[in-house]
Amino acid sequence: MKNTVISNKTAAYNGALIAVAGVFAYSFAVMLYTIIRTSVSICSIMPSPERSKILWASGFSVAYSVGVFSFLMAMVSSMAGAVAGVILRRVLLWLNPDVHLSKSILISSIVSLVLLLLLYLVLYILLKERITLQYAGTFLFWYVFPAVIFFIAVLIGGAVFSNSLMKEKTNKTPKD
Amino acid sequence: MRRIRKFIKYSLIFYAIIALVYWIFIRPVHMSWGATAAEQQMKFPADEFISPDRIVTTRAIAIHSSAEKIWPWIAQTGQNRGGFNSYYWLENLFAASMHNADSIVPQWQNPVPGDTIYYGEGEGYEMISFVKRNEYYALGGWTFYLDSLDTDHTRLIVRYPSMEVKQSVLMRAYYYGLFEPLHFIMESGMMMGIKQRAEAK
Repeated sequence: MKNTVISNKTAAYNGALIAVAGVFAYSFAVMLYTIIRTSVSICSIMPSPERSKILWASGFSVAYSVGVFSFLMAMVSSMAGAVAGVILRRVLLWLNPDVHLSKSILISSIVSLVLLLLLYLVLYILLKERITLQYAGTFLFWYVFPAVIFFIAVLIGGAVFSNSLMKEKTNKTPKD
Repeated sequence: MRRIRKFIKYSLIFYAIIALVYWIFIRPVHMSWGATAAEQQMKFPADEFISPDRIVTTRAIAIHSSAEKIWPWIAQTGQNRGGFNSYYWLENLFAASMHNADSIVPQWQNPVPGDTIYYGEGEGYEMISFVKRNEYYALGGWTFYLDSLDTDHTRLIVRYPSMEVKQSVLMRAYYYGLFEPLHFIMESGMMMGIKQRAEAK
């Protein structure tokens, strides 16, 4: 394990980067959705001379607050990403030493699901009845979409790690 | 990984530009959105609740309707009444359980000082502090004032006293980073929501 290109530190760093990228990608989707929906509403109410001012003000206020919130979430998520990266590295090296891509994807999926389960268990203990299915939008926004992004991020992480191991393996083969 | 690093870098640059534009051009506008200099200086009964250390916004919107037609929508304000006439879908992302009434509900037409008005389900609340039918309605220091110009034109002026300036760094970061822009979005949405309902035939 110690001889691999990707160390624990690099796995943590890459995990953190992928998590931060996931947060920003999600923030862009949320920002666009909110700006479009509020703008449609504004356009249907405000007459043209006053419309542009409120459209700009509202749009930039949405973008700014989403930016601040995503910056805070990126800091929290980078830690979760770093932990996930290290766990994924260890599990992949343990269960997939010969580095098969399909096996890596399967293992990454399982690791991702287990981590999500643990994460949501902690959230459930902390929030209890505030996690409600009463509003589909709320549930999708806070739990389902982030979970999908997390799942994809872990798969990407697993693929990146396996690719590095494969490259390392290929480079070592002539010497062996 | 290079592409991911690049994406993060450009995202940070993008949000930095947004923040810069927001602080230089947008914030000075939204603090008094639509309000004239005279409207910003107007005195309202609930101003007595506003300490000099507070950041105060005064916003206004022109409504092509009489104060009598606008009033019922203001009178039924509140999560536990007819909603806030704003972006309910945005409020419900935070499980506020918000429903905006699309009709005037008679049982909510007589707000009196001391009535409790909820901002969201199981969340913060405020007492009605001042009410004068067809003229003003205040939740604490948050005032909705109807300035009747003639039988068909009214100015809705909204004054909101938000945070005291002397706060911890963390509170200030929360206020300037999240609360203030979000409050502008929701309050302007509310004012436009009232306009839309009052102008509807």
